[in-house]
Amino acid sequence: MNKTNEPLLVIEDLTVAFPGQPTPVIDGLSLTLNRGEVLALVGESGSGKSMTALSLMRLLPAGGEITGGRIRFDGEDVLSLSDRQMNRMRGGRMAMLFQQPQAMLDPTSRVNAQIAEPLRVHRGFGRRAAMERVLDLLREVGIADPAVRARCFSHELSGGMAQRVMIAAALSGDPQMLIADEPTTALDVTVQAQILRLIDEQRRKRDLATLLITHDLAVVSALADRVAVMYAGRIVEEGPAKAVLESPQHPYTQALMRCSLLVPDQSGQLLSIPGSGTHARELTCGCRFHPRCSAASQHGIASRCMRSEPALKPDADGHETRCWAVEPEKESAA
Amino acid sequence: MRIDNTSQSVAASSLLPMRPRHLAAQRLWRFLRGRHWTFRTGVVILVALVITLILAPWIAPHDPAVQNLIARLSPPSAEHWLGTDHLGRDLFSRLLVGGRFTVTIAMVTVLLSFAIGTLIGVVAGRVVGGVFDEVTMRIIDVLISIPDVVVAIFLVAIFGPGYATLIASLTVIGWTPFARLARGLTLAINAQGYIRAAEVLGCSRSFIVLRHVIPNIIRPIAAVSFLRFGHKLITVGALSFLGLGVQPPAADWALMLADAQPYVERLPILMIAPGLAIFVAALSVTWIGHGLEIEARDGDSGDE
Amino acid sequence: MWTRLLQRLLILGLMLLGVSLLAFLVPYVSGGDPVRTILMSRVRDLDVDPAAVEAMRIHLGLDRPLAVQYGAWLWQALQGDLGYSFASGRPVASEIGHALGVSITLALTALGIAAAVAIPLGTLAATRPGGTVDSATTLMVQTFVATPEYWLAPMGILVFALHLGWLPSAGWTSWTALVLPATVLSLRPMAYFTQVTRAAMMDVLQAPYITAARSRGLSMRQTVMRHGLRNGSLPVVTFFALWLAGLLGGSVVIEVIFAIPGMGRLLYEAVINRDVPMLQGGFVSIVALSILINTIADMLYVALNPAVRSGHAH
Repeated sequence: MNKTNEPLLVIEDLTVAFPGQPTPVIDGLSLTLNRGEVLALVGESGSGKSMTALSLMRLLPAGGEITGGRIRFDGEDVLSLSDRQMNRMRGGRMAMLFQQPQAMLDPTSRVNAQIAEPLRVHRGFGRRAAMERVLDLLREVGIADPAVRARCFSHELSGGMAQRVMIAAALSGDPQMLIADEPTTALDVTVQAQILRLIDEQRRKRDLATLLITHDLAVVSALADRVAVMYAGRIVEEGPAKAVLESPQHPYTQALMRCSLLVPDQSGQLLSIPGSGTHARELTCGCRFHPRCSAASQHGIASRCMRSEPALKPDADGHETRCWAVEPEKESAA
Repeated sequence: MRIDNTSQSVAASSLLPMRPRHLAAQRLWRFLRGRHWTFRTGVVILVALVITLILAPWIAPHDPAVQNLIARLSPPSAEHWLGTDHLGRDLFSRLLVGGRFTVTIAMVTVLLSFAIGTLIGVVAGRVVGGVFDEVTMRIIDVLISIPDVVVAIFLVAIFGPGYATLIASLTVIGWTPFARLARGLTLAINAQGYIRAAEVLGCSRSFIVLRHVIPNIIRPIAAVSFLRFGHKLITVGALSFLGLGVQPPAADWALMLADAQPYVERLPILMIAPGLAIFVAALSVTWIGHGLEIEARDGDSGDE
Repeated sequence: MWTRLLQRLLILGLMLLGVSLLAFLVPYVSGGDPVRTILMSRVRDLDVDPAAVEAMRIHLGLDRPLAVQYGAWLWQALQGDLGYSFASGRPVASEIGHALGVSITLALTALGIAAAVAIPLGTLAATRPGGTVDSATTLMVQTFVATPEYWLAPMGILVFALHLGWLPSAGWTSWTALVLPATVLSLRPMAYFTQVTRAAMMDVLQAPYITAARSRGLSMRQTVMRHGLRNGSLPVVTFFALWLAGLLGGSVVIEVIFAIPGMGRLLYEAVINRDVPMLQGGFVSIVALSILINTIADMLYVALNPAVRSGHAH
């Protein structure tokens, strides 16, 4: 049983398509997640981050289909598991947090019943034992007066409280991996930090591998060990969090960082990336970012960017970038 | 070539030669092509049914009212294709004319309910939140729960059976579902950009309703009309069955069913045939309504 | 929410007043001598002596203005005094009481059968839209909607009572007599319940909390059972009530065919016998009950939905 050195999750060349859409939503995505590690998946909305998360759980919305690639989780081939095996996987070994915690709770069902579900279906808890464990979990996620809160309905909870409940439900199955899909985006700023701290605290305590999906680079710098940047269904840059954040290589990542810092340019206007990434997947040749890219024109390589798409190329520290402007020899600032 | 309804092509269309006129059959075929088989079958049955009912007095092999007590309850034969009833009347001929009353009443009721309900619903939806809207909606909440058969029985008891009584009593309740639907659809339309734009441009209320609201909500309401039509056919039949609708000796499907009851063991066709007629008529309009409903929901306009 | 209920109750009251006025006016608009009709409904054996009739007329206050008479009539009706039936000579109120019990039994049985079939079937159809089960269900729904019960009932009697002899052909004596009419009566509501359940379940199954439940490892089946059914059956509650109200008087044809002594048949016989007080009483009580049941159902809907209950509905 020498699996400890092997990464917990290996995604290879994952492709996800929806019928009626000309191009795949996720196009040849590869990622690894080590045990106990926090990998942040960053990108603007529509880049395919959430679809990646749902593909891992095999819970894509109706019509969505994994058309290619492999997902290995703890030595098992996720895509070839039977429905029954997949049910055991979900909640039992991989758990998920979502963006809108209140909408994620059944409005007609009490909080405790929903938190208890993984306990009952995966861990064989009886009704009474499950309810006791639920109270412990609620206490662990920092909910005051758990006995009262356990009997609440979702509409009686604040957003932060609902996310705490979702965290309790995710932890109750004692998973190895937590997928957190923008867990704080819909929350008040003051609550965001509390929830992030809670997630960090719990994952340290339980040695949980965490795939953190976000578009907030501040969140990334606070929590992540490694970062992968996604654009139009592809990974454009990946590497250790420190390296990527301190010396981003890909023009998109650089732009993303400048935007998130809200720094003004020379004319005093806030920086923004021109154009939108919505139709970037429809580019059939060349780099998908080139229409919005400043580097392409600066480096005088625009024709190359337009003609063919670069591959992900690693530097010495395992910092990979998908850009013609980045030469492999070029020294990393880190 | 299909022409899009944009300003450009409207201008261009005047330059195009006139489209050749299609024969009615060709047009029907174009209309039916590509739709679900139940919808196509429904249309064909309904068209055939309406034509038959209109022409029935001329194509019926026998006079549907003539009695022949010697040949009563005779089984199907060359002379009487479906046999004869308990008074020796030709079943096939009676079947041909027997839908006229029911279908007419149901059709008029639905048309009236459609007109009244849509009008009230649209107005309520345009002045949403106002006194008229609130009062109408609460009245509908209450009215919609009263069984229409009961109202019909009550009114027939007072005013006696007849076209006017039946139509009035079925419409009194019948408009409510249309109004609810029309109001809901109008609410959804209200939020659309082009309505806002028309309001900003200062178009009159009635212009907006006639030009923008009604054309956009008519499809789902038409679908419901056909579904209600099927329902009304059955209800009118029920009243006839009870002797509160069409009066003997006129032929009517439901009345024929009622008359056949004592003889059903001896000659089941007396009951099977008229019942099947009502069933097929109701099923055809239900199929049409269902097809239109799916089309309205999916926003697929089909061929022109 | 409370203002809405209050408005509703106000309209309900006005509507009942209107309906009762209609009923009150029956003797005046249905032909014949209204005074005589009314007197007959109030006194069991009416003397034919004109002087006695006149005396009785004054005694009962029928010489007062119509509005006053209506007030008196309404007051009596509210106290449960609806006069005497022409046909049976018994108090209308007690006859209605008996008939209502019968009709409610019949309606609840039919609706029970309908819901028991429709909710699982509609749910099943919703889990695989466009699949075989869904298509077959749609066809079944359309067929049931288009089937006249006054056709199916005699055919059912022909097969199950006359040929096979399994069930009685008519009457209201044992539970076996309930089987055939309740089954026939259940088909139409079954069709509508199935449609409503299917549509509601389709909505519910796309809800985010269903994905969340699946992410906790519940199978599709467990998810539907735990989170789908309760949310999906909410609209069915309203529909159930609408049909319960509808069947109280609306099952006339079935009650007549199977000789079941319920409300529908009572009303039907009142028409045939020109039994004015019975018609008045039957009409008013059916309408009042229908409206009442629906109002209760709307409140029940609110009670079942915790989010609406505390005013958090969107």
